[in-house]
Amino acid sequence: MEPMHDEHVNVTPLIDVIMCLIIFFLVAGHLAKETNIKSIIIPRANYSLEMADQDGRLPINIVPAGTSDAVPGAPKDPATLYMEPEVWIRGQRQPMADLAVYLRKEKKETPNIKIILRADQDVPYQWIAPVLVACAQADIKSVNFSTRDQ
Amino acid sequence: MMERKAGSGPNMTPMVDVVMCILIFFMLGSEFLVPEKLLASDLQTLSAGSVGGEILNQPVPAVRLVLKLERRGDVTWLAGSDGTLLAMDKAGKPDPAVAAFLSGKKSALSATAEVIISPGSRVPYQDVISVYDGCVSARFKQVAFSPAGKVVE
Repeated sequence: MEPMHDEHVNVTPLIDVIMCLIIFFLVAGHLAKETNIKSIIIPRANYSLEMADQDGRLPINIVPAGTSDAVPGAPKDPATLYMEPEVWIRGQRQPMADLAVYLRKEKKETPNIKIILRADQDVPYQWIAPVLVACAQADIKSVNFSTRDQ
Repeated sequence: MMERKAGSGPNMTPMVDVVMCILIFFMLGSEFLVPEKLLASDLQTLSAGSVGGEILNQPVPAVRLVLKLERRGDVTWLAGSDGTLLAMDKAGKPDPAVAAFLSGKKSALSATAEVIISPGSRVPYQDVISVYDGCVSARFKQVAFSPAGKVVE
């Protein structure tokens, strides 16, 4: 009697590929969470472009006080907008007063650093200006405003 | 010789079902992220002691257009150094009237004209970006931001 052949489809390569995809999405999602705060509603613009050169990117997230864990699009208390916002860089909260020192160190380590400024559209300019000044003090010329299409 | 029975290995079907569900979940989750683009700028760097001051080693532009932004109630007003006064759109998006104004100024001014955006401390970031977006669309080459509350003449 001849040995019986296994009539089932071999799903092992399929599972391998799917597992790789899941790990990819998990890691990508984790990295995205670490660098970007999701509760920020970035401003709209018509003439923004995609950044071709990804080297030296440093996203700076500016979130209205106490809203970094809020659901995206949740209504904001107008009073919080005029309080000092939270500044998040690489998943760590940074005091705004120490930003110039922090950025100087980053500039020393990465000379071609490019700042990606991710600020909420409702944050008043009084809290944006100190970040721009800190970049200028750290001798960082490339400051890019993160925007979304209309 | 031992016979191999059909389907003697573990049943992978439930595992494949679950793994497929997880994969679809992550794929859809990543779809919902808003694609972000960038408005690039080149800041003029300053020494620590000269923040908000004049930059002395820059070539003097032929024309300087100062755009002051002020918040009154829930409206942002744009006042140009040429006497223009515009109430910006409250819709929270780039204002076509601002873009049209800046485009008109660009064609009237010299190629080396410099724009200084001077927002008041209460002006929302969206309105600052709307004006900067208008400058980019009008192809102004020199655009600078003044620190909040710093009066630029």
